[in-house]
Amino acid sequence: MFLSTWSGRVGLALLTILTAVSLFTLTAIPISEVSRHWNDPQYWADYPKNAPPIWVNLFSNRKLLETKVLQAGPVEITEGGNAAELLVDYEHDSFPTHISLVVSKLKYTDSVPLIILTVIRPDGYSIEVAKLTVPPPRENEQQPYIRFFPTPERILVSSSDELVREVYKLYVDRFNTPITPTKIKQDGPQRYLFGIPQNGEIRPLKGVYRFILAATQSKGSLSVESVKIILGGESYGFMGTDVIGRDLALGILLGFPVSLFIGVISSLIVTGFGTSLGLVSGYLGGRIDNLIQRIADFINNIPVLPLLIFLVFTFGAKLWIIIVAFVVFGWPGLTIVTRSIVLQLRESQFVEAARAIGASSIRVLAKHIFPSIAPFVLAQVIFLTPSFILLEAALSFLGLGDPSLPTWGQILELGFRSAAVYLGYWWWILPPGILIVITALAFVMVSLGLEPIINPRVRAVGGR
Amino acid sequence: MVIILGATGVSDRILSSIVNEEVRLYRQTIAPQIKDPATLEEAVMKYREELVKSYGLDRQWYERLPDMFLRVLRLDLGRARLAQTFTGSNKISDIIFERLPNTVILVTTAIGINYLIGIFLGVKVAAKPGTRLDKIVSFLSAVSYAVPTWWLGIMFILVFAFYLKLFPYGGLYSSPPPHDPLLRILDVLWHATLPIVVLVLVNVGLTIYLTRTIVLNIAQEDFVNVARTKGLPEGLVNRRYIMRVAAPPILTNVILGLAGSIGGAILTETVFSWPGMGSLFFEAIVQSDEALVLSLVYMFTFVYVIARFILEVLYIVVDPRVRV
Amino acid sequence: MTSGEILHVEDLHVYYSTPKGYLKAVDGVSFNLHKGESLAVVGESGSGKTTLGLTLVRALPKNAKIVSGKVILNGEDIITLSTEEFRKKHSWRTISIVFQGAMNSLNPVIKVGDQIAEPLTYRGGLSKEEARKIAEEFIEMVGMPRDFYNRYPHELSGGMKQRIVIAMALVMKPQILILDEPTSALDVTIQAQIINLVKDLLDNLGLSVIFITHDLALASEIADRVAVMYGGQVVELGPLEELLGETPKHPYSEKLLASLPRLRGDNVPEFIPGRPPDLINPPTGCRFHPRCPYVFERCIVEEPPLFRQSSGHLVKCWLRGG
Repeated sequence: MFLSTWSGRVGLALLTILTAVSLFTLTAIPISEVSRHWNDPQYWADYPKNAPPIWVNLFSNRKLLETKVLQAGPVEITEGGNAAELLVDYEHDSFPTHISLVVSKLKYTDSVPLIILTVIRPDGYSIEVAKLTVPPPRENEQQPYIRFFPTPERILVSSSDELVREVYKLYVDRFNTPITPTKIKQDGPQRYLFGIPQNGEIRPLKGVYRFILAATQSKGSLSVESVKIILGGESYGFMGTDVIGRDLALGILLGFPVSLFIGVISSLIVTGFGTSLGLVSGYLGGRIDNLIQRIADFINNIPVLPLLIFLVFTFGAKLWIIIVAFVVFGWPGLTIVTRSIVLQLRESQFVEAARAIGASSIRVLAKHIFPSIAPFVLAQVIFLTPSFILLEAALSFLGLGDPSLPTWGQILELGFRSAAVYLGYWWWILPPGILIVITALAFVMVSLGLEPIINPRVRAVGGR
Repeated sequence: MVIILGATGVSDRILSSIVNEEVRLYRQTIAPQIKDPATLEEAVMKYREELVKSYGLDRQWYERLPDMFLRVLRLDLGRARLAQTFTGSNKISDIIFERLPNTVILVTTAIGINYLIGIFLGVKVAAKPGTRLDKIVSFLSAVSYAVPTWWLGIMFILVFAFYLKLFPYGGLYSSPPPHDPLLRILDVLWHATLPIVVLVLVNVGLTIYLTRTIVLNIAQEDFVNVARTKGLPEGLVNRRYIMRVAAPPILTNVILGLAGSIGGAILTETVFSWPGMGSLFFEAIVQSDEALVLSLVYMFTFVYVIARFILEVLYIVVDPRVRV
Repeated sequence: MTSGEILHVEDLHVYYSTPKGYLKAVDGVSFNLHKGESLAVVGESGSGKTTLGLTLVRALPKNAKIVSGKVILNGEDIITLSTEEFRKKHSWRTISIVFQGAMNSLNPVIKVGDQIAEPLTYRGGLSKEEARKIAEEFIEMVGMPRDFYNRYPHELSGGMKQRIVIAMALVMKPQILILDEPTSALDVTIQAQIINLVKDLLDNLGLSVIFITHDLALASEIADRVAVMYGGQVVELGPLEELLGETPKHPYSEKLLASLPRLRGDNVPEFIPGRPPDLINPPTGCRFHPRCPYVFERCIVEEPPLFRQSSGHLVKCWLRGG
């Protein structure tokens, strides 16, 4: 079959990979949840912003910190005891970008507890890092009292003034460093928390840090479902993050099924519509034919992108509007070509014969003409798909895509707008674009592979 | 286009906005002179009536059409809301004239280089179908077609401007632009290099592929075999029997590609901050500047029609079969 | 070579290489052509007749190979020449061809007169004006007004195009003209005109003609001798009268004659059952045996040679000799 062409093989291989990844994405990732939160910065608050992927560390001498999430729970706290202890072995050459404490679903009885987070550094000094006040019982509330549920309580420890004070005390009293609280606050107290003065500057102090979450409660019991301490890193994930902190790997994976969907659906509809019109136009002839051809010619001469931009902007950036616009611009090409094939076939002998026997027009169209154009139609669907994928990406890039769908074009749109290009955030710019190219390329290669079958003259040599 | 705009009432809105703008300006101008508010209002009202009459807003949109055509031809297009020229004028015709040459420089050069390289390579490859070279070129052409213009643009900026620091990030001139005219021209060229290269790379693949297909088809025609059997020198056969016959369909493809180059211009200009008609169009849409959008649509159509006309005349020269 | 013989083809084998194997389009063909004679090569589609014509002017496609044989033109074996050398020395000058399908033989964007004149300027060394004059003469010779020089192919009817192509083939005054199905796309009245034209040219220019066709009736209008081809081989070769007359012939030729419809008379045209032979794996023995009404064992096993029936009449059939 067409698999004999190298181009067809490569294309088919690529397509298989793309489909496999799409299927994987559709089954393995909770899509609705991710797309709901895609544009919600709150959801991504714990993630570092503009962070390159983790594996960058393999290539550079300076080890960037990955975002570390230390988690513990569920935890029962007895009177005066420690709630939880979280350890981190710090071996990095840079400081965390932030520290967050996240407590979910805290249950207590009787008296109101006070939660304190302390850090014991490798050099033995202990610093009180945060105090968490638990809201007291409300009027008529029953025990046990449940707090920080369903939304967890999130404290950005690294911006708390308490931490600044504690760090200041440490540095002035123990390390004799001339420093002001303002400077600590400016640089971010977490630097100093994880650092030690050396040769006039602050270097990362490597070793084991113990985060201890303790509770004081005069009476009653206390339990916490989960405690998280997040050390914001400079790198994250498989593909890094963007300016909102979104995990680009998720965005990119989601893009697979979305692009395939948009491309294939658009081209199916356009081909279906355009071919039908072409069949009607070519077969019936006369005034209908003329009218359809005129309209087709008119549309064909319109530059697509400016008008597409105009339409989407006027009528809104929703997926179905975009697809309708694609169809409106796409059908003439198909109609014109289908019609010319139909015109040739109409005069052919087997059609003449069929009509002589008295076959109805529909029958002739369906049984005789359509099978001849079917391979061409199939080839067109395959050939058109990448154009629509590219068009949709261009629209998204200009900011006119459907914002509820995470597509590769949109990722790049934000990148361009956030000046990621000028700042050298290659992990943001490179992968989505390459994937667009590969996806479009897959279809183009398959088309190329089909070409010698449809047009025998283009084969290597002819013969008589 | 005009009809669509008229029918959807967009025309009305645009003209009203033009009128309103002029009234506002008028008010500003005469306010210092007429102190009495009542008289001021009266004067403004009168002016407005005059304007409404002259713009024909008191008639239906289809009655206005011939008037409108004339106005477009005279380039009396009104003012833009936000956009401005270098010198601060916001008359649309000024803005367009300032930007039009920029786009022409970019697009014409890119198209020219695209077809020069594309046709040359397409012919070369068609001479030896099925060979390694053919396969490599076909693959590269497919890649070229698949690469989005705008993405290649930002990739180039990333590589050549950010990492290699060889070319500027965008724009027409460095700031401040050099005084010496020769240096000025070179400066523009330097800024234009990346966008032109991008435009060429993205389009050349399709050109090569189409040319190759056309030439391959023709090379297998009977009359080519006849020419060779007649003993004509191979060079003559190539020029007269293959290239001359291929010229009309290749030209057809050039015509078809014209419409697409407007889209390419919009994307490239936006990415490279090149002050041309394409980026202006995009800005106008985003700013909802109806008057500007409309004028640009007219301009695009106009330029397109001219280009197409030239090419169609060329086609008649090249293909005797369409001559009457 | 006997006197008067200008072309001698001996045991010619021309194969096409295809993915399925070698297609033996011409598989052992021998014949000769005398000065001023017209020879008709008659056969069905796929009999190899077109390939034969192409071989004689070295206009074969890339996947065709002249495997063995001799073609002796004016004493020289032109097979030994490279295509280049042949083209320079003989093509169009000594031997020329009118390809099948005149519609496509003309360049659509060049004036037809220029196409006729081309060989004169680019090979004959004549100036543009001289060449033009001669081209115009030839246009007149084929029965069209001189000013048609300036016409383009799309401005001409099928019959006119055919005449132009004939003029084009004759412009260097070759000794031999090959015509491959010159009339199959034309309607009957035009056909007759073209045939008459060819006959006139034959007489006036002293041409020798090889006329390739599937239409035996047409061949009989013009031929002095007929070669019947089947399955890549010449199965009968002889003067026209003998073929049309009572002399015993090849069963295939018999069938061909019987299949001709007659305007007068009762006979119902017969058809030949079966299909043309597969030239990649031709039948064993005599290639016609699967369709021959007189077939017997020897036909299946052994390929017959050409048996002489009378002077100048050869038949490749076990019935006629051995």
